[in-house]
Amino acid sequence: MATPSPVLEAPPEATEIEVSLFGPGVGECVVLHLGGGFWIVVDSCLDRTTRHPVALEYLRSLEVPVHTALKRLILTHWHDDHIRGAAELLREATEAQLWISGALSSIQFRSLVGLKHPSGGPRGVQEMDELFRIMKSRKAEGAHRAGYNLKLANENTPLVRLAAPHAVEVTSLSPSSESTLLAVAEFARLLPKDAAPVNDIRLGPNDAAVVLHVKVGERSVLLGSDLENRGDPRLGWRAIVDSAERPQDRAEVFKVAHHGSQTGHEPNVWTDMLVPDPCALLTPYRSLITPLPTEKDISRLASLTSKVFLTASPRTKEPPARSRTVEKIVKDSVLGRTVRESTVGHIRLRAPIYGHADWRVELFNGAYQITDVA
Amino acid sequence: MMKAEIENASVVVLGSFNPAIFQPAWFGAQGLITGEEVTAAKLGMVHPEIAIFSTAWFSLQVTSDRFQIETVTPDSYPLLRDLVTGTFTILSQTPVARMGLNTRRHYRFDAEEKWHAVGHLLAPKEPWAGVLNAPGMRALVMWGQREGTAASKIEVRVESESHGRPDYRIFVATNHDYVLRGEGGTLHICELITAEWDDILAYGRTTAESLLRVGMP
Amino acid sequence: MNRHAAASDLNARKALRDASDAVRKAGEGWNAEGVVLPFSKVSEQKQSSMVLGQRTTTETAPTDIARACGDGALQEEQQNDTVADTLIDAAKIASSQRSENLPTIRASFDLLQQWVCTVVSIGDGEFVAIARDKMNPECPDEEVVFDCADVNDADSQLLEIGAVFYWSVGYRISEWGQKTKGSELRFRRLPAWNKRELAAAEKRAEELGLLFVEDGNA
Repeated sequence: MATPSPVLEAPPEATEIEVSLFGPGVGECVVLHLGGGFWIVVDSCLDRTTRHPVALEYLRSLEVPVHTALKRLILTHWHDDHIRGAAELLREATEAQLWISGALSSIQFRSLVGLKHPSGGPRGVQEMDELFRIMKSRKAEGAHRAGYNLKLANENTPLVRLAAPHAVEVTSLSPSSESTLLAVAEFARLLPKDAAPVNDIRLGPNDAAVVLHVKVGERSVLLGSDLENRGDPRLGWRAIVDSAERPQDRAEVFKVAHHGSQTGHEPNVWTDMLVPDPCALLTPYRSLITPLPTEKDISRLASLTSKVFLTASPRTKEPPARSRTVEKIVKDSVLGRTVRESTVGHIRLRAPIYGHADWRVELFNGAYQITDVA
Repeated sequence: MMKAEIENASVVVLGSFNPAIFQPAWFGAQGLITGEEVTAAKLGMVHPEIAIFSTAWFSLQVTSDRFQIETVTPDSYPLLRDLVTGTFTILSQTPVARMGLNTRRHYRFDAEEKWHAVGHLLAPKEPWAGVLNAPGMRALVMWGQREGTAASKIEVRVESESHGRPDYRIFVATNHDYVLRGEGGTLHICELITAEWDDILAYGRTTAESLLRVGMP
Repeated sequence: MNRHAAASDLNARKALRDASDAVRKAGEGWNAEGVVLPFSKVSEQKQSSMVLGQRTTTETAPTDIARACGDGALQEEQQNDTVADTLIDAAKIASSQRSENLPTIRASFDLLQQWVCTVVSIGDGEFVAIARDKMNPECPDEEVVFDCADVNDADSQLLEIGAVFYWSVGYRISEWGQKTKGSELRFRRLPAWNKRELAAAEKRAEELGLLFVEDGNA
């Protein structure tokens, strides 16, 4: 079903929906075309080689006028791997609304951003700081025109509502009120106390993550961000599945949550929110400690759908070779070593907005389909 | 590309200081250097008007109006930045006015003609005809500005240092000069050095390599 | 800026001038009022090119200073009006006299590669850090496992999740020039968070709150 396409730069038709997932090994970004030249970007990561946001580079390669066509930048949470390059993207997208999790409006999170870290601080927080600066400056310039604000996504918040030329509904399904409270408590815990050492912030669970339901014409897509389950029906995926207010359309494409992890898995999502045998897309998280997805995760996903696609291998890659002397010293000095990011893999799905034609799947830069799982 | 034989980086702050504070023990008590570094520190001067000491990786001189710290070990460059940041975070009320971030790189050329080639490029000899016989570039200082820095002025100095010996050395020094905020000057130091330290180090290297390129392999 | 009391300044200058004379004579190390002046290995490279009003303090070549010294140019140098310049000039002079006889000055660690690392996990005598290449920012981040025993005793209490350290790889150079391959871990040392900084963060947080006061926002 999936065939590599040589024509990366061909833009979608006006009547086509596109879901493009990018992942370099650590990092994630989703670029969506909602028809009629209306683009949104969910999360951001960098192309390691060019050091620019992959979404910006991709849209430029399609000759999409980013400053007018990119209408929403939605950041599902503030962790480094989902936010790098977002500020540069927002600077270009002068007509885009910036949507962030409602939990990030709390004074606790704002205090984390407000800390003047001596050497810059954690990159996710630095990026949020820069994003807030951009929005502050736009506000000062009087950019109160409809749609130029900083917006907050909570459960069942409408992010896009269009009726023409075709119906578009983008809705955030999380965080629930209880998840927000938990996230805020986590932010408060991360805030240093008086006389605490100046260390980087230790990231906690993704209680504040924003899950999105995207409906364009007759097509639906579910973007799972990094949301995990917490064993409490008021939190995580359980809260979403059980919600009576959520959109009921079953999604054909699922951006699998939290890199396919067990904690990001909720069986009822597959039975209640997705069509049978959906396209399941995911990015890996390369790590020596907790690499994701594990072999077990891949087997589980393969048992739920025949169409599982990964942007890059979760297996660790060899670090770039430096001089022989450096490599010799490093080899003698460390117990293990792996590189986190490599070429940005890209999974692209396109389909007509109306009708039930199969999604056309294209794989670029090392993205691949899971097949022959034992 | 030719490697610098010796390089160093330094931070100079003009302000109002109490030199008596700046003893190794004080830095150790603040957790800014290790106990071992305190013990091994070489004291230069213990005087109300001036403090001088050095450790394995940095040397410090403080007078009532000048704070100067430097290191000659490139692996210590980020630590120097941290030490300055830490010092002025703790001494946040210190009145400060100006800061200089400086680099210096010394190169040795393996042939006289390569050494001369640099002088010919940077200081052409034709204008000196009739003024001097056998003119040679001794030192050249240029001032200017550049984008991407908050420095109000940058100075670049290229100087020959043959020491009268038959080896051919030139050093290239850069200075980024910053005017500090009247209020919150120490915070300004921390912000500037955090934002610009890596850049000025890279600038020092690329500037030296660019200016001395005719003499390099 | 504060200035010295005139009398104190004069006394200090005299003391330092006497000391610098001793330096010139001795060529290295000196005892003036019980103080020993060490010679930084690289004092000939001291750089103080700050412009301050009409006075420009610039480095001059050691050989020139050595020559000038003999011609009494130390007097000339003493037109500078701070105590520090006298001593620094004295140090320059002394170091210049030494430098003629010194072997080539070398750094104690010849750096080949450096990363800035953040500790992400600790356990079983090992710790894992994310390493960012400081010298080649285009290279991808790496995850590296280190032996806890490789942390200097002085830094061991700094080893915790979130701690930042610099990992340097290169050649260690002994005092007599012997080179050995080496890897060093040096933990970042910064003063702990204080109430003033935390209060400033809260104040900034309140200012950021205005961003969320908008029509239609939750």
